[in-house]
Amino acid sequence: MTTLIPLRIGKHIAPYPIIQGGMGIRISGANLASAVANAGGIGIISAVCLGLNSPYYKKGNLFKANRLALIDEIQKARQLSPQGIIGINVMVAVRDYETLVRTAAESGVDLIISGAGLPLHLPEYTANYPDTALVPIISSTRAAKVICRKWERRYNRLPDAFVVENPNTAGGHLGAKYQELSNPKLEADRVIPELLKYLRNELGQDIPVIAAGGVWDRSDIDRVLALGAKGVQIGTRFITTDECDADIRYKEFHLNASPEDVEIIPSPVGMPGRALHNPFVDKVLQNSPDIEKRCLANCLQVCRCRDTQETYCIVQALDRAARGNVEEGLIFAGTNAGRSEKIVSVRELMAELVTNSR
Amino acid sequence: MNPEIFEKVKSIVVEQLEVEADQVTPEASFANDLGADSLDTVELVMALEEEFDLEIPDEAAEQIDTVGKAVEHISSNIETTA
Repeated sequence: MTTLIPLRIGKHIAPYPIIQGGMGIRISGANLASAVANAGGIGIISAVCLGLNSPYYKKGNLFKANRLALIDEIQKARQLSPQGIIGINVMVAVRDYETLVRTAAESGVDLIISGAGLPLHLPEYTANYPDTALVPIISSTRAAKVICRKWERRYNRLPDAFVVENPNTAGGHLGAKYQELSNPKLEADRVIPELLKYLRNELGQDIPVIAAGGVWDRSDIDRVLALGAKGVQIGTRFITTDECDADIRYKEFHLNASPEDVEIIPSPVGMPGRALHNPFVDKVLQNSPDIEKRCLANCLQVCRCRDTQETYCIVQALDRAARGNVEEGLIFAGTNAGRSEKIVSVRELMAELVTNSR
Repeated sequence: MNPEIFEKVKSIVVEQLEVEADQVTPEASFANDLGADSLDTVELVMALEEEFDLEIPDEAAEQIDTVGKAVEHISSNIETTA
């Protein structure tokens, strides 16, 4: 077993090199993020569409509600974990991306993790907050190069870390085309060494690389650290914890799932997504006419549901699931889903990850 | 259309998008005819910026969807800055 070394991202140092991945909508909120931060990891609030189930939401003002609800969520996490490292995850594909990023930086988050699109303008929105670390999510060295060159030229800065997502195993939105999925060139053992070579040799920078996708236990952590990663991002496994912000029925659905239930489905943002099989996924894959296609709030930059009446309204589908409607909602999951045997506290889970080898 | 700029653009497009030179006509659309995805497009714009030593603003880059439009944009911006 390798010894775990504290993870430094920008000015922030976490005792353990474990980031809890952002999971929306309201799967990873203030409760989960603060619990992970208190246990020595980095807690991440998913910043997308928090307004939907907030007291601020009235028809037609989703973006305003999203902003106010994000401020509340960050404050709550900070109250629960005054010393821990707290960040947000926000996907580039949402229309209120700039507002959410600016709001999070103003609210004093320690880091911003951003993917599902290239976060080319991220430094512009956080320019007044130099302590806010910026962490793009990528799946290829090509994307890292584009971000580094653009940021260096335009803003004279570089990312504070990269999360490298393996689309073959990660949950939620995947940074690959359908036809590329399961291609071995997307695997961590190919991408991480290649990325490190670029960062060290061509860029001359020691930017930490965080491995995401398919990380479940200590053996997975040791495997990616051996490739040169400085830390891991874990999503799915944190769903089956007491502190996860989702409804208990969502957690139990994850608990009772098996890896065979994990499927690829189209998302209206135009990327494939990985989710648990349920009646909703069946309907999507069969293109059933009774899928909700009404556009709720024009929330995405590109939306196949809004623009061409294809797929489904993802905001409503994710929200339904998070509130416990596991039949008619969308339940994102990585390939390891269902390996949990019971719902545990974050403290117990973190203790297992940092001490055991299996 | 400035033939010198067109030839330079063409060779960059061939290299970046890994397409045959005869596919790169002024009318060819990067996305529809030359198979460029969003990452390809950003890379291509950056390569053009570096080759011609100019900055292509995002709003302008979004309008450049064909080889011909790229050549037009570069021609007019090189002239105005020269």
